[in-house]
Amino acid sequence: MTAAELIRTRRGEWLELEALLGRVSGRRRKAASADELARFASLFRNICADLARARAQGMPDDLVDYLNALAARCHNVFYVAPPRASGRIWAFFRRTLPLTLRRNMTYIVAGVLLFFGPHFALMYLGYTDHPVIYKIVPKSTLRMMEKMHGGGHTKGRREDKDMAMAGFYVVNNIGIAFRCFASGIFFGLGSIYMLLFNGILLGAIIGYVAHSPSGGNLLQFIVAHGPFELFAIALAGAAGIRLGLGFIIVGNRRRRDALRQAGAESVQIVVAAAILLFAAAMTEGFFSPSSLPVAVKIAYGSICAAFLIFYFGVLPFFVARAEARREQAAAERAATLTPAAATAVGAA
Amino acid sequence: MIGTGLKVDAPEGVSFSYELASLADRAKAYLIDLLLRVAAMVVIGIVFLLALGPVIWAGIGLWLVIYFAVEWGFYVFFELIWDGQSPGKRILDLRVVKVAGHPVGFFDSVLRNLLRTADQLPLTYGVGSLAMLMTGRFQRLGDLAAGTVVVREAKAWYGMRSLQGASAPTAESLVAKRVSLSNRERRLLQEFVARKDRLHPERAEQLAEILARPYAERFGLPMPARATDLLQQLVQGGPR
Repeated sequence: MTAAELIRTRRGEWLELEALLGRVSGRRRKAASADELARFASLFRNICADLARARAQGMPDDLVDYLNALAARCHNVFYVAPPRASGRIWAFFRRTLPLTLRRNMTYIVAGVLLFFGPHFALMYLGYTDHPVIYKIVPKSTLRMMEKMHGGGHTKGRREDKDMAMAGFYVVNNIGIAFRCFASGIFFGLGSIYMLLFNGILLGAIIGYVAHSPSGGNLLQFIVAHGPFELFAIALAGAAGIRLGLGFIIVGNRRRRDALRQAGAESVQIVVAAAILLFAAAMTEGFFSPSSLPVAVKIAYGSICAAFLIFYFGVLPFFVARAEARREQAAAERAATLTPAAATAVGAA
Repeated sequence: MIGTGLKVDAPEGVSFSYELASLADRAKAYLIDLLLRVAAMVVIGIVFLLALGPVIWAGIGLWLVIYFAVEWGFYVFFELIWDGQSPGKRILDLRVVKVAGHPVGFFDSVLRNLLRTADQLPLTYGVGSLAMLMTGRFQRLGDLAAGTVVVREAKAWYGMRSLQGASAPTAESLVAKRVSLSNRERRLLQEFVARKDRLHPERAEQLAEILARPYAERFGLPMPARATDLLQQLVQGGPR
């Protein structure tokens, strides 16, 4: 068959496929009828055959390039990821994320230690008024922070200012967490630096102000949103370290694949951190500065902390154990079958 | 083929290639997206200023939240609804795909776009550009971690236009071949002939001599005064 014959006989289908491609790609996919999708699949397979033939027979470049481009575009549309249904979101938080957390528990513990270790150490030094904190934070800044929390919360804050501050916290805090994660790709060093830096700075300030006359006001302010906010920064840093070390510790995989695996796991963790930070920003904007009694804020903060311990410290182990049991049961079932039956099951 | 491509083996039993987007293409797309984002934030800011006089603090808060969403969510949003294209990429016919040729998913998109923070260090995407030049598939760090590449579709689609005209007879004359060249050889020569006018004539002739001599020997042809002519004839189906 010559190129001219191929074009003459098959051109109708190619043009049909081009038209159909516009109708089944992207969001319009859902609107396409079953017949259209079936037709698309069969036309796609046909054009793959045309491409193979054109290439094997050395047909002109224009033609091969055209068929190649059309087939490549169809491939991209045809092998689309399954749609994201709400059931998959639940499955992500109930199973996928806990399993990822369990596999990366070492990194999470490392992130928590790197952040909270210096954080509490500096908080203690600040509270005892140790001179070293003046080397870390300028005296004027510390005075300013002290003054800022001097007013107390009995009157609350104007609602429109709440909104402005909530916006600021979203931009600033989630931005810090994202940067803390992304800078981890440089062998984890960026994340480690940002964890230590933020841990030390926040610790020194909180410790100093807690010691001052405004101390009560500050603690009242941070108790509600503190657990989510601080833990989320540690979590984002842990994800960054995971990403960076994934590039170094490759095991028996190619470096490229190891990095991709590290990316796929760490991005799940950082999405969790972003959700926590968004919740924290809303709390910090509207709830923390309000005139509600301290007991309510303490209760809220405690519930948040309990949730963090459950979801990030306990649940991953249970989900991982249930998963291991399920796999073992499946393996035992397979072992009791005869080899022939086992192959049949595997094939099915 | 001269140039860079990403070969994908499809389950249909054939392989096809995507043309990878160059650094310049991607820089242009980035600038378009950047301009769009800045323009959108300025417009929203002005509207809020005019509309929300007395409650301007609330407006500032809302603006900050929108700014955050645009800053971090712009690319993820468009890459999901437009199947791997941001407005800039759409204008320039670029598309993000997985290295296996699949469309990008939510987490892929989040990852490759979060890592822009690392890629844009120290200034103007220095790290990202370096990574793109060092990897065979022009991937910046975000692409490497997410397993994505940016491909170019523009050149691929030009065939469609020529096909809608009556291209069948010309195709027939193109394949009439009297000298036996392998597909790769003919493609190489075709590429050269197509590009020779973009070179200085003397330089083109120098290169043509290097290319033409082995073919002249193989087919027992005399070297013409201009080696470029011989290549042209070889491409068009052999000397007549």
